[in-house]
Amino acid sequence: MLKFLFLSLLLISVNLTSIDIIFADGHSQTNASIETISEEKQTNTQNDNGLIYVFIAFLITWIGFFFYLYYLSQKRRELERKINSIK
Amino acid sequence: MGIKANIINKTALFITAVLMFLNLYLIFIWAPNEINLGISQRIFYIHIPLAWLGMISMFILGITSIIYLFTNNTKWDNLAKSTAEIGVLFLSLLLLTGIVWSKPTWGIWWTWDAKLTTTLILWFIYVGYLALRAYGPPGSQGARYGAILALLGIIDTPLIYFATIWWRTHHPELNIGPAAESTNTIDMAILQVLMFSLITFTFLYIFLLIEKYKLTQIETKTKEIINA
Repeated sequence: MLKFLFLSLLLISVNLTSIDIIFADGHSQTNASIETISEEKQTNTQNDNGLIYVFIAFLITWIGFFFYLYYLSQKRRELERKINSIK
Repeated sequence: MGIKANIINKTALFITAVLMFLNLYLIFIWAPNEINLGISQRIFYIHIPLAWLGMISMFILGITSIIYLFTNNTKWDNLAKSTAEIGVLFLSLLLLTGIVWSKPTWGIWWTWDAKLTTTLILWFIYVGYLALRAYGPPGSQGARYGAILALLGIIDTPLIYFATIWWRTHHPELNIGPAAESTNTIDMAILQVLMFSLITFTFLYIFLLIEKYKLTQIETKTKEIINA
């Protein structure tokens, strides 16, 4: 499950470079037209640098949730053992 | 656990999992790039729901604690304990994602800004509550002490929400919610993804809360049987 999630995130990350950019006033522009403007090219480089932080943030969140679900399942097993011993 | 409860549980888990995958698709493929913050802005789609549910959790903890103080019914105390544990999880992830996001946007990992500091205080209140319940006086006395601590958390929650209005902070101003200024408009596509993310994480929160509550109920009953 975790491997699948990791691969999905990796594929999605590769896809991010072809996404439209939205401006504060709401209009959008494709990557093809951006490549002609040097200032916006710089913004793109900054965006690519931010990818690692996105990856880390999502990884931390998912590890947190999976760890908690694992903890709950362990607790459930422990309680079942206790109840069986009482019976 | 009964067959019916098991089916409900599995259905809830399935819906949450489907929503999560759809949410990932919307965040990474469908949502546009924000020009000022770039790709790192996508952290926003998990950061805001974690904050929202972390604070909601404190409200549930406070309300259930107050009800427990009046009724002395252990089911409210069990619900309070369950929501506190999930609240810690959500708030810890909120702080961690915030730390990761602040590096590319502010250039620093952490600053003693009003919003961040009040959030950290809330995290300490949650952890203090859980520590008190685990190692404090057993039974109703511990539950009462915990309820009083939870009331402190309720006071801190609005401080977090209004921190950007009341103090000068690094943290961005409120863009959505009742206190958001009308000038702080948010792009429609970004707002739609955020709303979907909020719904998805709320489903996850409800699923976790039901699971934890059921376990806490069983645990309490088992302890009662052993002590009898």
